[in-house]
Amino acid sequence: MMNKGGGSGGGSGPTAAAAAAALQKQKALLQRVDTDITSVVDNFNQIVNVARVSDPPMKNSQEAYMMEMRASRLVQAADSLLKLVSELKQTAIFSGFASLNDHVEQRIAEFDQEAEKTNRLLARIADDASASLKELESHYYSSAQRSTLD
Amino acid sequence: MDPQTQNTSLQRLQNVENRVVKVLELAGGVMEELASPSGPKKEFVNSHCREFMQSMKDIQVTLREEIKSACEYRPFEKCDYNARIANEICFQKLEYVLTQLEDLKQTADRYPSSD
Repeated sequence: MMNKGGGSGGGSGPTAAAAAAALQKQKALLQRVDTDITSVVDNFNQIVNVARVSDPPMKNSQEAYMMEMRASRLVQAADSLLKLVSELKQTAIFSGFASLNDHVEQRIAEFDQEAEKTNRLLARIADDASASLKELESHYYSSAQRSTLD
Repeated sequence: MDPQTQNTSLQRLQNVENRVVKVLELAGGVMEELASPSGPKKEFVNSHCREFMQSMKDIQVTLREEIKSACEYRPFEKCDYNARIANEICFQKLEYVLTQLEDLKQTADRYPSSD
């Protein structure tokens, strides 16, 4: 009998595996942000340093190449940041707790409104029933039906 | 940073995205100024570099905050259980009252009219 392993997924509630996976994802994203930010700053720093006027004219082409390379890396790091922001936007849209909480609060308000309406209706029914019962009692006790029962 | 216009995660991320584009424009502006034939203006370069670094700092801080708030695993905090169960209880109460009223009507119908 072959045992292919692979444990089952987490349950419906919060589990250690889900929490660990979320933590790993968070660390990876934080590392990615730091890497991209550092790359942008460092490449800009290098560009400004390379832009310094140097005495030997034979290095101009080399410096120009270095500047182009640094500029390209700067743009790539910025593009990576934009992609990261796009991922976070998707996360905010699909699993943002704020919007979900707003939706739940809206449902709670609707339920409370319905419950209040029902309670008012029940109270009115109780009042009407009480009045009708008193009227029925007065009719009954003053009618001939009661005399015949006695 | 204006907190009143960044009260949602999406708005903050949108502002970060715009700021990233602005950072690239700042870098381009600095390089164009350095390449000017009349020589770079020191104040211009200083102000742009300072703004560049401040923008990068804001981008990093905001993104780290958004990542922590977005990826943190926590149970769903809001729940409509109480309101929903209260609504169910009201429904049951209505059903009970309706049955009682129906019985009352049947009892009243058994007696002949006093006319």
